[in-house]
Amino acid sequence: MDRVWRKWVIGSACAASVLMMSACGGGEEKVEDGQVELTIWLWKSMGIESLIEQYAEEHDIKVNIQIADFNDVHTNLTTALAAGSGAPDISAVEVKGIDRMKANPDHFHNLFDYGGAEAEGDYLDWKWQQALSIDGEYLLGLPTDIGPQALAYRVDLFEESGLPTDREEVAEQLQTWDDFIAAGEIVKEKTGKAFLPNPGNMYAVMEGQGDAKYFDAEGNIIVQDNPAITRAYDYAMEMIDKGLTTNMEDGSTEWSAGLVNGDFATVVAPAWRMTQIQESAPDAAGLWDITQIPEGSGNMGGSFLTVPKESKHPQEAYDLIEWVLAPEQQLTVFRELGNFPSTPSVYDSEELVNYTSEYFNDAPVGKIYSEAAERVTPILEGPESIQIEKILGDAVTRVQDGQDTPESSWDAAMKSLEREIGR
Amino acid sequence: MKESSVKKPKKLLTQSKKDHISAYLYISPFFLLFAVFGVFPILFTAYISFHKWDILGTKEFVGLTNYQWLLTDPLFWKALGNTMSIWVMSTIPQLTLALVLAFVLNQALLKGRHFFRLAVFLPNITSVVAVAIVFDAIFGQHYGIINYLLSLVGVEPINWKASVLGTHVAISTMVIWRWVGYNSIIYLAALQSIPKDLYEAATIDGANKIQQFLFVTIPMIRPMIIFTVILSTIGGMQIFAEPQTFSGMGGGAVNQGLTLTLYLYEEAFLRNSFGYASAIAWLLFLIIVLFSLLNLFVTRKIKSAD
Repeated sequence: MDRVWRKWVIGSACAASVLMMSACGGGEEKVEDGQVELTIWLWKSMGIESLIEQYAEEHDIKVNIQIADFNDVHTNLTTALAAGSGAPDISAVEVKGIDRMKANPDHFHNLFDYGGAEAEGDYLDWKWQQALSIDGEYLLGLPTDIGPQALAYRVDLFEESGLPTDREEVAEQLQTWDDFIAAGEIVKEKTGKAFLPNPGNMYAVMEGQGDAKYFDAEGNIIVQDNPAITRAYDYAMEMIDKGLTTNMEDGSTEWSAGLVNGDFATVVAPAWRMTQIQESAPDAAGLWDITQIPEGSGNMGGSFLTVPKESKHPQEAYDLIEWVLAPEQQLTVFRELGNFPSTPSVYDSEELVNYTSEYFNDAPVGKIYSEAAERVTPILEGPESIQIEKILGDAVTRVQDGQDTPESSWDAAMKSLEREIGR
Repeated sequence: MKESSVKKPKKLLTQSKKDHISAYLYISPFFLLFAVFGVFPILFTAYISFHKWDILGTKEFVGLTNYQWLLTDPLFWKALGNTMSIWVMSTIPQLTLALVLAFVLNQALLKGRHFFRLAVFLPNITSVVAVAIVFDAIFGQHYGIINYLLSLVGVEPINWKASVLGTHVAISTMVIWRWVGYNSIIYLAALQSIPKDLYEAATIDGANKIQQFLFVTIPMIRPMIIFTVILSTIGGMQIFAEPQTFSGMGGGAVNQGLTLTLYLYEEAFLRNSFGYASAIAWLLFLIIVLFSLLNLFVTRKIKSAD
């Protein structure tokens, strides 16, 4: 009888443990010989994996880097934070994602508690501000790269159209967006090719070139009354009307083919897009060059590394990200991938200034993008910027696709916007 | 063990009681898991649907407001329309094609039957995202193979992604490609269970192949046809990965690829309106129930016909 009972006990214990494992699998941290293990969530092309591993090796830390899709990292993090379990020790969060986290900063360790204040001087001020909670008490993360905007242009198409091909002269020629459209008309007339892969490519930069974009400093939505946005919309409409744009979505298969075949003469490119272009169109090496965009630069994207509250090793996690995101390391990432540093102290460094890209016709991209970074007017993104950007981008796309007229597409966007805010 | 049971005449539990307990223990894993991963989420979703909740902050009770909004939400009705349209455009050709394919695969004359049976099933186990990326290239306006083929017969390139019809055709094609093989394997199994003498009798009565197909094969595999229709209905109402990959966020600029589940997902994980998303989930549940009842009604009708 004893043995029978023992069987029951062991049996049900096993069943229970199986259930436990399936219910909370992966939640436990395995620590071998007191070694600290840090789980880190990143997405592709962040370029810091090898640096993290190097740091881990030097400091006898075990790291578990998990790479997922850009959107999935944000979704998974939100879910894990809400569930109160499963969040990593370090997670990357994009600028628009961090604006949404600011309403609930207590889901993260305040990096000011672990020495964050000392790092402040390393980073661009506007980028640093993005990492602070609304009251400025909380430091949610340390900045990774920024996305200053420049203009990639197709040398052969410019030559064929009789436009200048030297990057200084191109910048000289394209000082304003009116110049930009005029040059597009010449290319269209001489070669029959479009000037931009899609109108949204230019629209997204232009709407951010004012003093504010979707929100004013108090956090009110100002889309309807912001002249920078209506102007950007009108210019995009003019380009569509003149046939200077096509409908190849950034990063799509068609876009890659278009890059190689020269279906469009320019691409507005934040620094990280250099990598995207090289990877999507390796056959177009030497055909593209890079210069400044009209009317000042702009910033698109860029991220932060955060330490979620669940981490049991916040100090170790902070030390790691502080090292990985220090100026010298950001410079290494730039050389390898083109992600542009958020640390101005390296902008004048020999390495960056002299850095040229073979793919982009030996353009001194380090110098071009650091100039672009200095031309960035910082703007507040705001908590709903993803949705608003989508609503306005759709309005432009509808006209490009011939699904709507400029006026009625704009009205439809304003209606969606009201619905979006009304909730 | 033997000794002990002989020595003790009085047992704590009778054998039949022990059998009962062990039986319940054997089936308990399913019920425990179902309670945790099935029942709880369903009830919790209902609870959430009466709240305004951004998952990270606090919940605020709003009663039926989410449902009220939903019924007057143009996007919800658009998503419902898209889902229905894609469902009809994919299910009907898919099941017809599967039936024909199964009939062909069942022919004794066909060489290499095993190879073909395996081959028709392959699309089903291919990753949906990979499929969607390939179809994205196939349906490209400038470099897509479909537009190239159309250009050979003088048709202007079609911008599949931009229009409602083009998007629905492309997504339905993906669904058809993926599920025809699965359904034809089910039909094939049904076909093989039809007794041969029915066909022999039909042949003697002078029925040709087509008549045999219509009056012997189809009535005999009707249960399987009903089964596949119900499965396709449930699957069709929940179509997600294809439109998400093909049309992107919001299902495109005119929401041409926005299906109910895509809308649900974006409300929850993009806008963090978990309460609203839960309300969508419940309405979707009701719609599926409605369709299943409709299916049941129709099948009853067919049954009582003969």
